[in-house]
Amino acid sequence: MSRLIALVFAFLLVPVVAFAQTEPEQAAEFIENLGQRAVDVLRDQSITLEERESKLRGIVHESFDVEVIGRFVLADFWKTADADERDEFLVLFSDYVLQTYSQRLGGYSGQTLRIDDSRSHRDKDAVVETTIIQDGTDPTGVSWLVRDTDKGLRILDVIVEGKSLALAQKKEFSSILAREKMPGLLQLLRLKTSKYSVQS
Amino acid sequence: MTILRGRGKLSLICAAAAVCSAVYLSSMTPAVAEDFTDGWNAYQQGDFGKARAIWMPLAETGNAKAMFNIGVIYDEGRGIAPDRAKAIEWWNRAAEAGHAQAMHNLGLAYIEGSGVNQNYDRAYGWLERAAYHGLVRSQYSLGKMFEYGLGVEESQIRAALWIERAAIAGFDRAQYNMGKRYRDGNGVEKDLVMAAKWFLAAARQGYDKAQNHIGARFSKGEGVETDMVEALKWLTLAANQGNASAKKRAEKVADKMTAEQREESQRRAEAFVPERSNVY
Repeated sequence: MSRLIALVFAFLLVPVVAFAQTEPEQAAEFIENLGQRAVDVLRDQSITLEERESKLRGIVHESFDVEVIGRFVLADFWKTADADERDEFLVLFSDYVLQTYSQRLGGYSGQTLRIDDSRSHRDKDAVVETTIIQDGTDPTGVSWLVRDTDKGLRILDVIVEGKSLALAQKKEFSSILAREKMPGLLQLLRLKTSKYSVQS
Repeated sequence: MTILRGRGKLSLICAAAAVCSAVYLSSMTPAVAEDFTDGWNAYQQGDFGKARAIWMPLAETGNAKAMFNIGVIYDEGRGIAPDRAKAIEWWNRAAEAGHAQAMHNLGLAYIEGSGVNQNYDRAYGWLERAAYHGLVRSQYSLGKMFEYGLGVEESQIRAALWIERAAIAGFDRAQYNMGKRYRDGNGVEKDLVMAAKWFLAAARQGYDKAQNHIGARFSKGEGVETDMVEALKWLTLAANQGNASAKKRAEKVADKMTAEQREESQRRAEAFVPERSNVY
């Protein structure tokens, strides 16, 4: 797990010298607080799932550093993209990430999150180790890479059972970037956010 | 979800953890003789496993809406690991049964090459069928296929025809796109009044890019009478949604206004309520 986090960290494109050391205890509280802020939304059955997910998107938006994740996902293509392409990518990628994550979290309840540990990682970040427990399934290890940025604490990556979400997104986009460059990826992201969801 | 901190227990739901665990933690409730609405209610409550258990037998016996929803569950990974191939399989069955939204999602999947091999001809075929069912997203997507020449000969005129159709029906992104087309004379004759009309229509629905553009038009008097108060109102609304360009423009516009004008813009921005469109 630590090796994977180190690998992801090595690819992050933001100059880390600009940020202070992230306090592990604060990072753990940040993850815990994320749940606290979400609980009211998740429990509010007076609004539709779509409305709950819309509210959760706001929470996720404030908790993840989508720009850093987006730069990591694009890698060298970030450097060659023009300003308009970068701006549009960040908007579309934010929508995609927020939509995807909010859909995943919108309906889940009855699980237990155990905060196992939090520790410093490299010079600037902290890793919060947690375990998800649900009856009838094996416990799932989830690690959170957190950085104290100029916008406050932000999640840079989530590693589930050894699989980095940032790396997974990078892999998902790499083939279309290789084939169709930035215009192709932008078009793909536009499409991904315009599908229809369940019908009543 | 409950959060256990160290050895203590806190009764909290950790949404972000659930984000990541969802693909690993699935559950299925034993199927009982329940109808489609029961599945919908379970889905709304976030019990995706139960929804799937209720809809699956309906889908297997030919209910097109249940087929479509099962496809969405697989595509979005709702309480189950995402499986695009299964999503395509169910959307294909629903589309063949005449379900318009399934046709649309299938069309996009063929453009994307997700769960199927990329095939623009099939994408066009499904999107066209969905568009003729009146789906604005399909009309807009067809316009984009013509705009970029995806599997069809590039034609800005045909792109504008499809996108304007969606714009007239009330689709904000299509309205914004038509604003740009009339501004630039792309696929339509250049017409700044029409451009402002479409930017304003999308802006009223809360679309930040359109709010930025109509704010600029009001500040310069392009296609509309110059109105600095309205300009700052729209730019503020866009900036409040994180639109960086609108934020910069709002600062420049505000510098040219009196304190009273700025206050009036702020008051109008705070009173703004987006118009809800039912076309989606």
